[in-house]
Amino acid sequence: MATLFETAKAVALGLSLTALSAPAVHAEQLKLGVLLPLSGSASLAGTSIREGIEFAIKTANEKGGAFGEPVKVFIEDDEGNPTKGVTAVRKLVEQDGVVAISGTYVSAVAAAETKVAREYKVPMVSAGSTSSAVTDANTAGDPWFFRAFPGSVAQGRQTAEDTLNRLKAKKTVVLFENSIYGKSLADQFKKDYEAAGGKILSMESYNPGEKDFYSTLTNVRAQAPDAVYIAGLMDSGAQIIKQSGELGIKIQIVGSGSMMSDKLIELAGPASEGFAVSSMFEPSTPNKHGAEFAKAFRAAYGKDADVYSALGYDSMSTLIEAARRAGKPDGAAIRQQLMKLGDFPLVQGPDGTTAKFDEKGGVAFTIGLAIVRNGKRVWMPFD
Amino acid sequence: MALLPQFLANGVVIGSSYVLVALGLTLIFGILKIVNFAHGEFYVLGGYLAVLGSQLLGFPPLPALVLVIVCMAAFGWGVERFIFLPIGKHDPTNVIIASFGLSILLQNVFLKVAGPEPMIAKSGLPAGAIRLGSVFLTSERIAIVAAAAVTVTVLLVVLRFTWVGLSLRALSENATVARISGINVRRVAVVTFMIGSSLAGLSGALMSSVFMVQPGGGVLVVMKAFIVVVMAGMGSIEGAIVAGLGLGVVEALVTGYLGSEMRDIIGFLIVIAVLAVRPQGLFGLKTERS
Amino acid sequence: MLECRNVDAGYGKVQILHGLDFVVPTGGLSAILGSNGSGKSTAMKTVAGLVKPTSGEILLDGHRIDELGAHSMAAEGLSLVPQGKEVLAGLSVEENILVGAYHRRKDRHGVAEDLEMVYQEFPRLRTRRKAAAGLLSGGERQMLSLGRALMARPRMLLLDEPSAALAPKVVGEISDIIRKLRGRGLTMLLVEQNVSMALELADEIHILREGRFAYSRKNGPDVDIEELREFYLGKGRS
Repeated sequence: MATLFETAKAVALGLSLTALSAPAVHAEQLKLGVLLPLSGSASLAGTSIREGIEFAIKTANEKGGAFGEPVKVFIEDDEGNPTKGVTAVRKLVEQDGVVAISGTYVSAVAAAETKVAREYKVPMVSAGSTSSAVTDANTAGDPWFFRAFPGSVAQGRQTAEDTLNRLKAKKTVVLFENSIYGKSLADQFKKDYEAAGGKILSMESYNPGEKDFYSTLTNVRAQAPDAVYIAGLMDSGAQIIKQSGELGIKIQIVGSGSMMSDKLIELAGPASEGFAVSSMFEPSTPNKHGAEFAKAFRAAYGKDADVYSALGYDSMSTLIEAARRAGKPDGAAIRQQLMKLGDFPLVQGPDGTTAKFDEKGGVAFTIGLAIVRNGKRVWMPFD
Repeated sequence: MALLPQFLANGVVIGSSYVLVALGLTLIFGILKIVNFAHGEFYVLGGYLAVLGSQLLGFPPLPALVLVIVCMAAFGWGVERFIFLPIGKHDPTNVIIASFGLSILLQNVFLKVAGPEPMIAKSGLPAGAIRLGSVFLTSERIAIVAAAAVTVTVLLVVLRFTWVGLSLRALSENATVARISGINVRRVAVVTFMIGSSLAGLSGALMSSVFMVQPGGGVLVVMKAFIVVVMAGMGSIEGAIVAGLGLGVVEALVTGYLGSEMRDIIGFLIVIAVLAVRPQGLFGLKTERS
Repeated sequence: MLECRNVDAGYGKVQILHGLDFVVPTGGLSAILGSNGSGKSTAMKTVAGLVKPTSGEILLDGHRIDELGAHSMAAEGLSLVPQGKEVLAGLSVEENILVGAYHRRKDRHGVAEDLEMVYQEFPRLRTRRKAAAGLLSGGERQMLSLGRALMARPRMLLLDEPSAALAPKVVGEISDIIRKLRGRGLTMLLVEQNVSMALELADEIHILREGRFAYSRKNGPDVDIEELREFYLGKGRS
């Protein structure tokens, strides 16, 4: 069986080599894939991330692309659905011939996609998936899935500390989206919050896309916590904040990184005043590289960059840089270079943050906290 | 027990929205025997029209609702005339498939035209919480209950006491008898579709000031509406009212006392239990037809 | 006067009626007899506009009606009392009667008058006017269907097997009503399997077999019942 497989692989390799060697010029073109939820409930984040990714490609191509050719990108919509995602990976690799992929946003989908991509020896760099479970599935020292920002473990810990120490909330209720993303953050938050001396009054999950929280919030009010921590996406977060205001609940609300969006403030209205959210990037960032990105993005798109465009930009920039350093469009070689990008600056995080991937494929930096004041997020300085 | 009044109030608000969506669905099914899977997208379209009227055109609440109803009636006419009628001519079951296709088509049109960002309609009603004893509500939520009550009353009066209502009910009972009695089935079909479509749009418009409008927002809504319609007995208006309010209250109580992850499980368990005991639904007539 | 001129009709590609040709004179009562599958139901549906003829013409008092569609027949003065006692089961008895007046709903006074007339004709319907029609007995349903048809103020009635599945006593009652209606000058076409009922009521008898008239003649004392039965059962020559 093994020999048969080897033979098949050799034949396939031979075929692909002939295919590659025919048009010699195009063989050197760097083809990259992008997987994002561009429709479905997570499409709001997906389309913002795409802007960051496209901006990274545009910037790279203005600087000569890779291997003397513009970088070619194939974008697939995975709809936030693992099955669609896996199909999209196969299409990107087999039909479009991409050698590395930036994606995706929904953690559960990223976990499914990277399993397949790994079989093709195609590395992936997260475009927003936060759950640490996806990078933890990597073999230490041999990662195929990378994330250029801290995962749920670090974010949950940071938020737990901030809630307890900065916001002075001793008793918290946790509401989390029933998904890998929400659950991994909520569990981590609980662990670290309790370890630091805080008290979790209750943990309650809700389904992705949930819109009505009156009954849940009625219970929250009865428990009289100091704070509510929401681990979920922006749309449900906005509803929770808005409806808390309607129910007359005056409790500090803390949100996970997905809620770092101006749209949330618009949708939740005045109730968002005082809302605190984990933030890895703001246009007003003290990160010099990030500030340059924010300025250039504003000039190109006529609007402010946000955490989504920032992480999309970082995801694609690291991939292109790794490919340039690898010198050839080859997945395994790009992966080798990704592991050595410790000197490459990121736009997210405090000043001087670089793409220093650890042996599990994650990057650690201090996550900030932003608080809404007068309808604008105000970034608390990094410690 | 202290929280019970708030849970019940939540349930009545959500239940009223279920009633509004289910009414149009059950009307279209009961009279035209069309299972319209695109009903949820009709609801979303109503929401977007409300955003258009209230935000972009700056209409006050009532004219905005009139805009929604007029546009949705015209939309319903077009869908019936140009999609369902020609497709149903060859094989009525094709209409089900066509409605699925229409659902996906509309979702993607919303995504292209309105974008993925959620939108919220301005209700023009006074903002902020209204406190009734231990119960908190907003004027928008009270408006949903009021609108559901008014709509249901108007619909029941029209169906019971007018010739239009009699022709609709006659057609839903027996198309042949309706035809030989002088009822123009084509015209009734169009009227029914326009009313059903307007009802979906109206509920979407009302909900768009409380919740947000999103391209995919109709999927869950149509599921809930189907639960209500099946539980009520396909085609039963009175049943849809009882089942819609009942489902809303049960969901609110389950969410309140057991947690929201149990909510949809309980909803479907109730449907299965109801159908096991009464396959014709709560209000379905148990008459044999030849 | 109803005239059917060389009418072909069927469903899809299946032709059921072949060149049906007959006349019911004003005030007359013709009966079409036939066994199951003979095409008599299709004949009735074609006259009532529920099935469109593929060729031929149907005229009521000299006016073409075959292209109008079933819903226009009530206004033309032609009412069908359908087979199988079809009623609007979930609607009340009174609503079932009223729906027959749909095409003249603007005439509120006349409709109210006719409703009263139907109740006088069928007192049992008055006592059950609020009940759901689906709960009525077979005989009551037949009366309800007749009542509904009369609400249209027809000049011509089509009666599709009014005696089917009814007890003999009830069949007698229905026959009495039909005779009474004839007395008022209504033209009628009766489709039946019940030979004796047809012989009792009709001026003219047709026997339909495989979509063609196998037998047509004036009713009278000289009609040979045995011959008629043979045709009816399909043994006679066509």
